[in-house]
Amino acid sequence: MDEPHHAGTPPHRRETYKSTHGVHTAVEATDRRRKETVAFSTQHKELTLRSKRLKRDASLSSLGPPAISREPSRTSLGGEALSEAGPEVSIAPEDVAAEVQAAVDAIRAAKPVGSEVCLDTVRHLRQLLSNYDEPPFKEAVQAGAVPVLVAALQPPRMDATAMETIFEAAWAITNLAVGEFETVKAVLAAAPILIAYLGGGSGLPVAEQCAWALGNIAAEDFDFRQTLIANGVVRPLAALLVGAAKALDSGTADIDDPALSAGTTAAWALSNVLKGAGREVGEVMGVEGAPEAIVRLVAEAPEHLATEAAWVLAYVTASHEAHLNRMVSLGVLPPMLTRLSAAVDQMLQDEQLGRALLIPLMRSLGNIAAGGGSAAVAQLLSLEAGPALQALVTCAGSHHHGLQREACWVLSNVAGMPGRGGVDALKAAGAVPALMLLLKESPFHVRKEAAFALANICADGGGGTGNAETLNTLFGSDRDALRALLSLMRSADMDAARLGLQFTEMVLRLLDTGAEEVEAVDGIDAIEAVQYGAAPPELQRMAAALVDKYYGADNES
Amino acid sequence: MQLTALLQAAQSADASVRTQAEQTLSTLQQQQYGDLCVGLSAELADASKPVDARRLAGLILKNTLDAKEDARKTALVQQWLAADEGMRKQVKLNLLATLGTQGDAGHTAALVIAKVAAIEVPRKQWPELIEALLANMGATPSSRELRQSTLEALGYTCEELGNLDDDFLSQLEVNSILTAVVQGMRKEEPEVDVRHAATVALQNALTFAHNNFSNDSERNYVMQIICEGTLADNSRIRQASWECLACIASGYYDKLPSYMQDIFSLTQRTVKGDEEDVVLQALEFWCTVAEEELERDGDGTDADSVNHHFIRAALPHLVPLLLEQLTKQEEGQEADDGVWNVAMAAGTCLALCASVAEDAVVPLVMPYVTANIQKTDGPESWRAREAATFAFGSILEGPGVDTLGQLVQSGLGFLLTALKQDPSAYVKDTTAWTIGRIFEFVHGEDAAAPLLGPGNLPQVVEALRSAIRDAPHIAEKVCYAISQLAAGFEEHGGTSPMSPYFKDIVQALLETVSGAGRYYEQYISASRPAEQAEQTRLQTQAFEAINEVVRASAADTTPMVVQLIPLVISKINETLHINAASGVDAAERQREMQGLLCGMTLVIVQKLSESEVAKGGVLQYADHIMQALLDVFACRTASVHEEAMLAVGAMTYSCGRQFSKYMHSFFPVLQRGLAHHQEWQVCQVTVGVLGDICRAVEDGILDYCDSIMQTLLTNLQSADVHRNIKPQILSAFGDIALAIGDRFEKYLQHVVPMLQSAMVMSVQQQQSGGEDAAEYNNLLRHGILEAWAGMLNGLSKDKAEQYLKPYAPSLLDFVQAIYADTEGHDDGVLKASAALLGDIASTLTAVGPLFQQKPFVQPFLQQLDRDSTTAETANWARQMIEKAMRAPQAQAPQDGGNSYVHSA
Repeated sequence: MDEPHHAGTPPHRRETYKSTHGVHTAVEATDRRRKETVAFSTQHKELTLRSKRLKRDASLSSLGPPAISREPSRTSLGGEALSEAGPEVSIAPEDVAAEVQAAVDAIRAAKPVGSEVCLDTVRHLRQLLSNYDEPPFKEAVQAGAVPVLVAALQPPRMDATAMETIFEAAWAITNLAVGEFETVKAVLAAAPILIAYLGGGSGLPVAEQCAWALGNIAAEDFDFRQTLIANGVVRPLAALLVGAAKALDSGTADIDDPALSAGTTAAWALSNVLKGAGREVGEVMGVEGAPEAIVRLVAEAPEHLATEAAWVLAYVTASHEAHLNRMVSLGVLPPMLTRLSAAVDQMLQDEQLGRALLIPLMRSLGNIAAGGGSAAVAQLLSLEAGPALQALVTCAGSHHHGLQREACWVLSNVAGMPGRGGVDALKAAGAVPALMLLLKESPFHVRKEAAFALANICADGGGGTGNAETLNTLFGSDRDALRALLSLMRSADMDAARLGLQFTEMVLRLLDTGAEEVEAVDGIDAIEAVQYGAAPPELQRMAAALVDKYYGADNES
Repeated sequence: MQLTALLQAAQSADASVRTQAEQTLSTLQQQQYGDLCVGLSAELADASKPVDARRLAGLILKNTLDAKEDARKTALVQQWLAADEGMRKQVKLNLLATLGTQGDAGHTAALVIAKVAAIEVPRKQWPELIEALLANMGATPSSRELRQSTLEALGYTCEELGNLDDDFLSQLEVNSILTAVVQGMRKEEPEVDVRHAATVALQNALTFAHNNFSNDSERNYVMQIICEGTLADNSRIRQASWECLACIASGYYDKLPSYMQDIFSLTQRTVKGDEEDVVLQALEFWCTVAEEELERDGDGTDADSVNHHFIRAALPHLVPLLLEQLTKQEEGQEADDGVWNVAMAAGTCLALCASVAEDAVVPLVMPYVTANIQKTDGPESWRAREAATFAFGSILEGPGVDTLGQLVQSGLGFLLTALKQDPSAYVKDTTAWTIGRIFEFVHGEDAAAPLLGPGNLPQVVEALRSAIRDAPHIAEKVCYAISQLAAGFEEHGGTSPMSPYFKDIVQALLETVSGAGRYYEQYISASRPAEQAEQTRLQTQAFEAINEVVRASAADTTPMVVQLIPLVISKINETLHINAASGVDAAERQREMQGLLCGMTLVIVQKLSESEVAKGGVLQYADHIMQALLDVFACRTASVHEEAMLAVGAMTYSCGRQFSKYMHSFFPVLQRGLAHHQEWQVCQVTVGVLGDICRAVEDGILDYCDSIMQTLLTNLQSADVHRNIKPQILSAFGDIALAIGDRFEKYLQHVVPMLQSAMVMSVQQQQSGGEDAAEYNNLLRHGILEAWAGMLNGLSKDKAEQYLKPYAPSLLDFVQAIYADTEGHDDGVLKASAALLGDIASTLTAVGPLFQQKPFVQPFLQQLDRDSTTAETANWARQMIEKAMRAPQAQAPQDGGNSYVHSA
């Protein structure tokens, strides 16, 4: 405390005279810049963490759609709002088996199926299966949970309580279906009745819950998927997609619309079912309106639904050229390209948002570029495709290695399309500098894809045998790049090693100074790594032939 | 040596005598604290001692009780409290006995008493103080000196106690103090000094008068006495009374309605006829009322938000009164920071009224503006023009753009002409300010009829470019106008209406920068501080304007922004040749100049980094920029230039992984900045830049990690390091862990215990309470949460499981404590908390039971759902936790098969 101020200048008020908002002194200027920089830095920090988080949990993007919440479904069935917390008291492990047994017995004893009493017992079991870290799946199966739940799925007559009983039973089965192999195998017995409910006759929430359960079963094992397919899971799931597309077309569906929600889960389940499938994909294409629905959903649906639909599209386009070209003829490409560009824009704003959708879109696009007919090629080379290609280049230049790899893979397939068109389109989209950078600076799995893309570009596209000029421009004076590409020969990944070897051959064949250049980047050593390493015999032979031809005794003299 | 002689020696004109006396005193304070305090108080009390010795004794005593720096203050308080109680009692008796003695010793004693009171009253160690002071007031016979210095002691004591968080005066004491003070304020009080001291004391005592002000009759009485004070014969009393009213306007706004009529009459009387110092205080009252009403939005009965709209009600009478005052300018004072006069106060008040009353002010002011702004009759007509221009400038903030648009549209041309041609520098100064405010508040780019467009921009730019060469104080406001002009435009389709003028404007600003620089050099030895300050301000504003123009620049001017890089680098190089060794001024000048230039570099780099294409412009010059920054760092080896450090941070974003190549040469600077905690903000910025580097070069930081970690850990453990740096260091651990992944393993044994003790400290702080503590605690929490997040996400799942799993329960407890702290609520912390829960759930295995045991998790995440900034994170965390609790294995579909086409 100093002397209280007297007349004259009230300092704080003087500062507001002719006040100019903003900075007045160098100190304030520094302060402002410091604050801006801190904000900038904080933002980047969050982005970095976010991308790490996504990487850590790759399944997030298509695990049970996040939009699905248990609560709304329950209330929409008219059930009273029960506390979700379940039993708060934790139960000692040794008591768990007894508890589960009691719960299963209680369901068995609760008659009739679909009554209030029955509902309460089913819900109790479902809570037990939801609430433990190591949920008592095995105990439940041993206690005979599956048959009683299957019974609970089939009440003699339908009313609100019965519907909710079905819902709870399906939920319990959904949880069991994420158990270990033996548990899921036991749950498989419920598949036919679950599939029966997919039709939506008992309400979309029930259909959705059953789809979820089936999706979990499908995720466990290839043979289970075959069983589900044999039981006719594909058609009703595809029909739910058609329903979602119709709801979308009605124009009144909001994001919580049950048809969209069910469609999202169904698409997720369907993509799990189709994993590794071959001709069964044809079943999807055979459902009336399903291919069109996929196009619609990929084009217009809210993000989660579009994402899951795009995964289905990825499997469809990977299955058979006929299916692929059917999708192209239905006009899937233009909306894919639009959505791809939009998703990249969105991702630039907020990395977590667009990315989920991007990956299945890119996979589908890569498949189409690789296997599409002339119509697909023409569309991919059209002017309209330009922004999407640029978006891919943006992804290739992003900070996500995963995204970079996917984008490079698509770019390599575009470059590999028949003729020179793909190569020219990539050059126009500015892909080449980005790919060159990735080749030199990124981790192996990205570098490998970038190398494929660049190799296709130097080969002058699919069917090309090499373009000396391009090769010279890109690699003639960039030894770092050449070294990076040739070093693939040392890789344990045989695809990469083969590419490296093929590329080396092209360099030696087309560049006047090829032999010297290859030698300068330790290429001979790398070729010999193939020749004397663990590569398949045909690569070893090829390597030997190269050494012989370009560095043999004849050349030495 | 006798104390009196020593005190006189300490004021000797002979520096060596003085220094020696000061040293002796300082030694005494350390070695004979008690004796010294008693001696000083006795000296102060002793009327037979020389006046200057007594005064100094009091001041030294005061300085043994209080200091500006917190750490020193705490130490002094502890020293006093630890001292012998008998000694303290003696000092206090001496101080009380000094009140009422001749000369200003009583006044000094009053100041010291308040300092002792601030320490002892909260600890209940001086219960008899208030009673003793009040006894002085009632003593018979009593002297003027006794009552005056006692009132001062009461006032200062109230001020000290009012600064504390809690109230330590009983209502009984408050009542008695108010009674004594108001008694002294009455017009019947014959002694002017006493009445004045009482009025000043009331200002401080008002803080405690809430109960008394709730009582109508008590309040009415006090208000009556104060209002009478505004009519006292003595101007100091009138002035102090108005100060009381201003205190009441901010402290007891809701109680004002019954008095405003009278206060307004008093205002008119004062403003029209009183001395300047009194008028200033009367205007200050209205400024305070306006500020209160700006902050209040309610019409309800809640005392904190009730708004009586006094300004709106008084507006028709108040505005003319204020306008009349505007012509009382003092010529030549427009550029002087140290001046405060009636015209300035009235203008400031008018601007506040406009912010409060909004559109209603416009019709009251505009007739005055139009009637006066063009006056050219006679040598004093500049007053009318300046006043009118100022009035117009004042009403630009508050009224709506719809109301102002047309007025500004038609007035802008006139103002631009005045800016160029008015003969009065004062008018030009105000005109430039008004134009700047127009651009700031009525830019109207989004309006139906935009104020600025191709039609008038050429004229605007031309006027500003010419006026920027005017006197520095005018040029400074022109820079402000340019900043606002540029900031008001947005980029559309790769261009902006400003794009055609980018080059010319930046050129003009650069010339201003160099001109001001040269001007400055001339004065550097001429020692004319006001001129120098003016030039420095202009230069700062000119740089800020350049920065603003760059920030607002559109894509089509990117090449020109890039071209600024070599220019700014060459200017940085010029500063390297300033001979900093030639004197403090030159060194300071170099530091300032480098600060401005590095700031400009930072803004350019940040701007260009916004787009991938433009970033190429930075990369092209990256080596040169980094070299220039390193040269700046090299100018000083004892410290680190903060602005240069910030610029390096920006470079990391442009360069990304390529920043690695600068690490070798930059590392010593980084290390120096991290270790140089004496300038805590610089150190903090450096820690932030370390994080930027980690994100840019990722494991490229690996080679340097050992030294960096050692420095960070040392800082963390040091008591000398400013506490604000520490949370940031914790956060940097997270950055490093993210960057180097499992190679962070070897640091965990040091980092984890640090985090644990930080968590304990945070929870303790939470319990101890206090607003400052809460703010710091949120910084700390942020640092802790980011450190864990970085480690959980940086380490592989296996390593995380191995090392971090054991801490999961304590982390959940930590988040629970944060959730429970509703008072310390901070969105950023809550978001990071939710994210950490998600990280635990997604990274560590078998954590389901842990979450199961924590019922707070659900309501916590639900609470976060309500806020859009946290909802997404909460949703993600919820999914992760549900997954952990259900232990699902549903897998993502894999891709649809690679199909490479390779033809070679």
